[in-house]
Amino acid sequence: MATAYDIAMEQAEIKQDGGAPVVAVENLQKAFETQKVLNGMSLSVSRGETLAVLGRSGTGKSVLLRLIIGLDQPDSGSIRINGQEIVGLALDGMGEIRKKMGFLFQQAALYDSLTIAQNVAFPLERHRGEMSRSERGDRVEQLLAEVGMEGDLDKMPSDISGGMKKRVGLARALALEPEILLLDEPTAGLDPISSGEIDDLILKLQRERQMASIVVTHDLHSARTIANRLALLDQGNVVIAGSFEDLERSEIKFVKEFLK
Amino acid sequence: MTRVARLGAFIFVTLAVLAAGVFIVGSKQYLFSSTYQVKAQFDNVAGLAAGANVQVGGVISGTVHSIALPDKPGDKITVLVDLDKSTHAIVKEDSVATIETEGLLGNQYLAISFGTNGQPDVKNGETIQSQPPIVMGDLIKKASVILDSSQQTMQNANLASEHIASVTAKIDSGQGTVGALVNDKQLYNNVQQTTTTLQATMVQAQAGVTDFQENMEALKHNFILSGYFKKRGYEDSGDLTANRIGGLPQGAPLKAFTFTAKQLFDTRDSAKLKNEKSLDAGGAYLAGNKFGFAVVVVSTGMEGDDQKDLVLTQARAMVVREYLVNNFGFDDSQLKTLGMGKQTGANLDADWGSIQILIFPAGTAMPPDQPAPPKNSSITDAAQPAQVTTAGTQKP
Amino acid sequence: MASVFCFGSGVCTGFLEWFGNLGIFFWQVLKAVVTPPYEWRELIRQMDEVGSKSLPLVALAGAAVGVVLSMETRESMTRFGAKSLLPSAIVFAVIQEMGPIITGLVVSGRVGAGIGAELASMKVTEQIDAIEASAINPYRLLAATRILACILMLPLLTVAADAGGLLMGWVAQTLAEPISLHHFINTGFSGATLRDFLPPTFKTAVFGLIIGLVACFQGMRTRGGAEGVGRAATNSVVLASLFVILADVVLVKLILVVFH
Repeated sequence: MATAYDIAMEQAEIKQDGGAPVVAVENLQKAFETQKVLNGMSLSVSRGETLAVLGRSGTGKSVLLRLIIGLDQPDSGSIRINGQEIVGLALDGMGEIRKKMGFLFQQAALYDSLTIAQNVAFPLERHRGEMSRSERGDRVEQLLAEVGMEGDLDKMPSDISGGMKKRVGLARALALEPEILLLDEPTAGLDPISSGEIDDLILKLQRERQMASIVVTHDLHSARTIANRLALLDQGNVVIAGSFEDLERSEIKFVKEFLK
Repeated sequence: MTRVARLGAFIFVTLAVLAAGVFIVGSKQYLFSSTYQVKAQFDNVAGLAAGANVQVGGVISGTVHSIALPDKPGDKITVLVDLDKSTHAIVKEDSVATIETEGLLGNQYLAISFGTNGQPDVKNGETIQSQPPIVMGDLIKKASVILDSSQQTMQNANLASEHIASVTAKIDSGQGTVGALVNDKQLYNNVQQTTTTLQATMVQAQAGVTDFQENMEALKHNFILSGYFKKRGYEDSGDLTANRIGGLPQGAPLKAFTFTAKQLFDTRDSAKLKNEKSLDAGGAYLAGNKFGFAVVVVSTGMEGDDQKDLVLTQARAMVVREYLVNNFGFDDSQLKTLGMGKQTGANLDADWGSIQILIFPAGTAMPPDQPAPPKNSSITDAAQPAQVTTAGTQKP
Repeated sequence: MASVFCFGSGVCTGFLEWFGNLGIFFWQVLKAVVTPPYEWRELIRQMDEVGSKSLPLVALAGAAVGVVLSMETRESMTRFGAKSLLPSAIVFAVIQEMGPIITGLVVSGRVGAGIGAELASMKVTEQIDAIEASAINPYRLLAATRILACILMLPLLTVAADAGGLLMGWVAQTLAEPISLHHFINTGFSGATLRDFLPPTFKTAVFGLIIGLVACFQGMRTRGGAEGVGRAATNSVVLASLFVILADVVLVKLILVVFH
């Protein structure tokens, strides 16, 4: 029987337009204290593709994202971004790679001493030094408009709701026009309507930008809406990866349980 | 105020305060004024430290830059000093450096004396003379020696005062003569009484003397005793010097009448006048002529007692004068007597002496009176003061 | 290995690990300080936080110390018949020891707690991760700027504390027995050398290093939500104060050896 990895690779090869996967994760192992969170998992994501990573809460889904962006190091395994191995890279080495990534944190992680506009301008100031002040200002406005927060430029993060924070977080993540978008539980803590709004936004952005996106979520409905492929994690391993229909058709007990 | 402005103000103000502090400290270290350097060498610096003050004439004018120990024993310690340029004119080659202490136990500092005018200036880096410092330890050693000897003195003084104390104690308790004196009340009373008695006696004695004088006077006139007085030629010794003068005046006399004692007197040792008439010629002259003053000058030969002969001459002069005064009319204050006592002379002895009446012209200076020559003490002397006043009124 | 060294004592092992991690942290900061891009704007902001904003408290503390010193020293000096030495005693005590240590402890409290809490709350809300994910070195942006600000501002704050102490020392003195400020300064500073006053003032730069380093380390390593933030703040103050005092002992000795 083909492993999940094989299936995923097949899918990736079909989907991509003539290149290696943008993100290729192979055989990752990661343990915290005594708990083994990742146990040899592998997956890949291509350009224009949105991969949803599902699993039970607290099973290391977020850890995966952190490993990909280099905030943590795996115990073993390989992570390749555009073919470049990033495992073992020091902070400074990761710099260029990170500039190509956008990360939306679970709580948006906005800088609470800065305004909304300043938050979004943050990466621009440091990595787009060639832009003039006014150019930057325009760009910020543009980004905030895309996420529907154009009227709240001078508000502080503490003044806005959870959903609004996530929108601003998204705007900030997109500031540098990343190739890769990593989303950690984008609809967590949101009511169904707000969740739907966020889902729509993500879809729209993906259509426009064709990024390689990895969305970690436990929200099946959301995953179904925004993702091309889904991967289900259990016991630190990918149990199944494929379209939603593939998951529905699966006979694996865990998948059946999860889909209920 | 913007953040940056506030930060700028904070940094500026604190740096300014820091700079002020540095300046204050630095100026005391003469970092900012031009200085020149001088060396002084010592065997012992008695705790002087680098950075200590240097005083020139008592004014703080520099600091000790460094103190360098010598290379080998026997060499001196070199003290290098920064002096303010303003002292250049007063610190000369003959200035002397000493190490002093502020107060008794204070910090050490270096004192440099003024040089003398005309001496050459000290050049930068030159060495000046120095005097060794007083090391507190030596002072204390000396002091302890003094203390030891004064301790001994104290002990002696103690003993002495103990002795005095015991004596005083004895006096207090009436022992010994002084004790008796001090303590015996009876003795005190006795002394009191004695004094009172003495006073009474004195009064009595005085009365007695007056009384005695009067008795004597009476006796003189008593027929039994009057012979003595007659023989003598005069009664009152008090008159002897009443009209005498101290000596012969300057200048020659107008006239001189000379007689021998044999001519005028009874015996060799008496003043009883005889042949008074021979004196008349003199008397007549005195009465009839103008003169300054006249002196009856009498002298004896060398025989006999000095004192007695002196008295004799005085007596004889007195007697002659009295005859003249009583028998001739002239101002008797102008007639003086002069008893010469013993005189040498060819015929004096044979003639028992001489008597002269010398008359001097007007204007001749009268020699001053002489104090009475010392006589053998006799009752007549004691009686003299009382008699002078009575003699004037008495007539034989 | 640490447990072997410590005979298995948990506290001891923990302590050694803490020190080891601190060393690693310090090394990261050091690397960040010397490499560009330099975070000038953030440095200015931190210098204002640490310096200008601590000024009132530090100056007040210095003034209070000055008054107390003046009153107490007057008492003892009179007893020893050395009342004329009072200005000197105050000046030397304030500038050589009281000014530096009071500044060190006051800043340990205010800035130590401030930095510890701020960075800890940033950590628990993933803001520090967000910074890193934005290809910006958090050691450079957050830690280096704060530590550098502490190092630079402490000597200046000490000058302020000294000034406050001397001024109020004079006031207390003059209230008891009138003496002009000019005379007070003159006699107070007589016999002083720069070697007496500059080293104690600049040793506070070491205090600054300690405060900044300990507070940033504690803050950026926090785990556990609000409680973690509180703990981080407390630990920062306690450890910074402790190390400041210990460092003072060493530094005073060092100054005596080197400068006298």
